[in-house]
Amino acid sequence: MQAIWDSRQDIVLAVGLISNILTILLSVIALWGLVVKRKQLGLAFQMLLTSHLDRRMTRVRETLTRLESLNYDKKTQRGEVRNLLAQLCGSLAAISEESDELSELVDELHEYHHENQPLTENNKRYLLSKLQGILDEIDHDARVRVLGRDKS
Amino acid sequence: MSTKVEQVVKAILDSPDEILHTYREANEFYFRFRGHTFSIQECEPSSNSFDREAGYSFYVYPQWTSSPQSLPFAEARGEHGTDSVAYREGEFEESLLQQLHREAMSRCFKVDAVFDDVLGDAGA
Repeated sequence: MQAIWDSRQDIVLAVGLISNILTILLSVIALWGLVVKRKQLGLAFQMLLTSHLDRRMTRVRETLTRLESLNYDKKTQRGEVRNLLAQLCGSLAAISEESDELSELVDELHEYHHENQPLTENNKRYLLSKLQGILDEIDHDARVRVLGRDKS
Repeated sequence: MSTKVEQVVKAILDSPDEILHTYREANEFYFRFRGHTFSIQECEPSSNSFDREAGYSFYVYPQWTSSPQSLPFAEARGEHGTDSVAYREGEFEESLLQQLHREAMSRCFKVDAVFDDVLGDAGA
């Protein structure tokens, strides 16, 4: 009975020892990775952030494409244009910290949506083309960040 | 013999001073006339040959009692009371809706005040 008990304790000790060794090994590898592969890790993290931004941008661009196909001068399309502008306002609010210009544009869109500012097809086109430009700039900045080069 | 709606448009054109609370949204002018709400829209023809909105359209809002200014937004949101009946250019005598559009536009932009001012200066 005592012999069985002793062998079981030996097994527990052996397993504990192996797990401690593995923990130490993995910690060393992680530290080595953090010190030696710092740039690669940073790049991977940056790419993760960029892909998140990309998904949001794709949704915004889809809404933009739909808005461009509608004409505010057509009475039957006005409701959808205003609804899509509201949707755009919400989507852009999530990425508005990416650029001051975008933040200003979100405020402008907000006025059209919540404060019932009169809108025209020309105003709509102006806002959309301005937004396209800002999104292209944000896209470009994100790529530059991933490549690790500072925009000069 | 002109239709009832034609007579209404002619009545509006005969008493332009009674066109009140004009409000512009896009290419459409909303206004009140003798307690009722109407709008006149000018729409450029699109490449789509089936474009029903091309040309001038006259809208009547039988249930709208609030100000014309709040109507386009309520309309866009599909709120209650914004139902309208549309009459297209082809249903009217030639240029009747064009005249109404110009009249509504003049009232909205207060063109009369400009003319009065110019004529007043010329007279002085």
